[in-house]
Amino acid sequence: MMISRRDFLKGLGAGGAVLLIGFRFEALAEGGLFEPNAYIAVDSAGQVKLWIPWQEIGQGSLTAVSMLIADELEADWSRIDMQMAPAETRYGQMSTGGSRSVRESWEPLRRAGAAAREMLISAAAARWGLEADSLRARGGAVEHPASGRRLEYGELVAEAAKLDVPASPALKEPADFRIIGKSIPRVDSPDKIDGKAIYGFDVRRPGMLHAALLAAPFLGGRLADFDDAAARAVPGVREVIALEDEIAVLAEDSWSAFRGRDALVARWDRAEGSSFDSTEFRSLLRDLVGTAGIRARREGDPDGVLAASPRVVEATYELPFLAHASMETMNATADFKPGSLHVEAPTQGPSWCRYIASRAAEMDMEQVSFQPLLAGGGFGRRLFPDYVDAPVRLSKQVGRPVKVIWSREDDFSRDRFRPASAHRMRAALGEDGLPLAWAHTLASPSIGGRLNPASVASGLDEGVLMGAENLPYSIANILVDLHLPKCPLPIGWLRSVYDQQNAFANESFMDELAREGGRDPVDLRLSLLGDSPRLRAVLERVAEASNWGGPTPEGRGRGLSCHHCFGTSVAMVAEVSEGRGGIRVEKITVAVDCGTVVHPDGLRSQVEGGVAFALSGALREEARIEKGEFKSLNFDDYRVLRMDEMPEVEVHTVEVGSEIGGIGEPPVPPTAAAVANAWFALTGRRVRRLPMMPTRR
Amino acid sequence: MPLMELKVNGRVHRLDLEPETPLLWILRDRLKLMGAKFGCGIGECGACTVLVGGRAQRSCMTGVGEAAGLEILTIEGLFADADHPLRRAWLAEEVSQCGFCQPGQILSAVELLARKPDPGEADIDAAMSGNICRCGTYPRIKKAILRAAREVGRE
Repeated sequence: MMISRRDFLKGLGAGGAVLLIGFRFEALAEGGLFEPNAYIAVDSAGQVKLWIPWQEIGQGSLTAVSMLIADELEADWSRIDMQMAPAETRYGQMSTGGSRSVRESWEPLRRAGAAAREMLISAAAARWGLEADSLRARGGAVEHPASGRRLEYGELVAEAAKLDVPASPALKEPADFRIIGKSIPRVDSPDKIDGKAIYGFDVRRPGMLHAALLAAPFLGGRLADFDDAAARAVPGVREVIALEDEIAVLAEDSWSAFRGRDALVARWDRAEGSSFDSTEFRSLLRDLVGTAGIRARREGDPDGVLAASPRVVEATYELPFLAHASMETMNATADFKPGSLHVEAPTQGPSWCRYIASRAAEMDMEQVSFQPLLAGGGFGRRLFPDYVDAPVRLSKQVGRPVKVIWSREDDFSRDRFRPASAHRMRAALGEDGLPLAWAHTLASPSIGGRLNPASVASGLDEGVLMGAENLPYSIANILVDLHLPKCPLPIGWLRSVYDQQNAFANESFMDELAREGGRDPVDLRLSLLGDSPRLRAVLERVAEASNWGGPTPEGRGRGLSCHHCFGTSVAMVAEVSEGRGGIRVEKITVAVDCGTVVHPDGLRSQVEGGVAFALSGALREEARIEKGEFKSLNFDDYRVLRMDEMPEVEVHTVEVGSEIGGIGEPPVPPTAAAVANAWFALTGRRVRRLPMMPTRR
Repeated sequence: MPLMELKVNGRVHRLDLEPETPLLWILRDRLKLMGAKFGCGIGECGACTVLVGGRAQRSCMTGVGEAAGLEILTIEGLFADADHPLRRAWLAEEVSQCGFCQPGQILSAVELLARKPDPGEADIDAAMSGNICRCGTYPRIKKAILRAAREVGRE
């Protein structure tokens, strides 16, 4: 049966996926290739090629998503090449964030593999004159078990390519998975440790110039004038080109470009935002939460219950601006030729990059090819395509390929910072120690509103409220209200986004309520989680695994937290001691329910990494801007977690039902509160303001 | 510019270079050895670590003049031996996530194991805390170093 593209896309929608990726339906016979859709090609030698519409930023998607397709395709894993798909219209809007790649691929990309498998089986059935039902696919071949006959996929591609794509190919039963659920080696590991992997920074093209950019040393500075005589005198420098509010130095090699950039003399005018001060902004947030915001959620009579209660608990929590600080700084390479433009860069948003490139070159999208490359980290920073604009303009101007590379100082000062926030929490406790009312007043600038002011015209932003409005605890009277102050500092998404701030406030406050109400922190949460079987399960698991309630080793304190986001429930117990520098995190025990696990070791790896990332932010990190000047410019004044501060991380998985959740982000939000709660258990000192150990200066 | 001799991974290169040019950029842009990475430019992150005369050095802060005449070893030279114990250990422990810092981590580990063939956890913390990993692969780096040390000890 031939199906229309629209019907197939409708079918995908019915599968519950929101993945906006298109399929191509005409199977192609050209060049001896069998291409049943945009993700799969099999050649006549039986080699399988997969195009993965998600970007590899370290999270392992290239491996895990390939596993989904390969399992249904019954491919021979050793004969697959996989690569990141280019930004092409047939893949729809491509972006990698929100811990979405595996869970959103789960249904549609397995169907893509299953469709190809059914076509190969049909081709074999026709060749042999047998019923398709009597055949099976295994390890890159179709077999007829009754007779022992076998045809390699490569021998079937020409005939398979002439068949119609099945409308609703059958998916395998989980019991029949041969690849899914196994910790097979990551496909990108060998090249990465051999130094052979090509990251954006490693791109070389014939005739390419390397470019470094100079921008104002303070926020919002406008270029007034500049003198480039000294820069042009640096050996290797070929061009100096002023762009809007930045100056590019183009050279034959990276070092010359950086030296030329350092030799520029420029004068900058101050503009709006040039006096921004992150410390003052944090004070503003603190003041704001002392007043009522725009109401996002109200149940029962929270104000009345709080006003009448003899037992009100109140606390304010504060979190700073954070930088992403991925190990590889931003970079992109553009190669402009009349009528065509090729751009490549490490990114989490190829479609947006392609759009920005076409706009910078003043070309149609269809004239622009964009290839995502391996990224040395992303953490949300690479969802923004700002670093793609300059190389395109420069390449167009000089007629040579241009790679723009950012120094670490560029990367810090041009970040899209994780917004600072303040949270005023109030609760009324009943005689049994359970909360009768809960009120959370939240102030933080809106990332969504910065991109599209109309989206927050009501004064509310679903993004900022994530983890606050959807509090998992059943409490009769709830108020969540919000302030969205304007913020001239560019802000953006950082691993787990606002769930991180809100979970720190919720879970620290829950610990305070447990202390005030005289209840055990596990018991208090379980009493309020009747509607959340997954959170209950991870709490019970982590309590057992961490020996919660049992004796704590001498000199250590234990703290608990839990949170549900991106489809996954996580609970953790931190064990801390007091070290020379202050808080020392000894061990973190984690229980996770993300439903079906595609790659068990990949999951553990993401949990370890998520905990490390969150600890780094909780203990050390703060991006500081003083009177418009960036004060956090490199790893000496923006401290991040290092080996000697890394605790042991023990990971347990629980599966309540099989609904698949994400894993890149969910380990991040509960971490800071678990540590703060453990520190309180050890010392009686409550940490309500992050970072816990600010860099002395 | 003076003519210099750089011995990289056993090969001698004669190049006209200014002595203060950081080794990192010569490795990458002139010798096309991309395994040493640029991370910070001030010797704080360790992504550019290579061995110079057997010592783990931040190549972003090491002028080629200082490195001339000494044996320089990059990840490409180290893992020309695909059976190297650290390579096997790094793969067995599935250390890499984004992978960008890993060549530098591995070269710091080489120096540690040369100095202390049977390191304890505190030795590893001390030797490896100059190398930042933002993906948080620290526990696996530690396991991989311990594994490599065990395997070499057994051989």
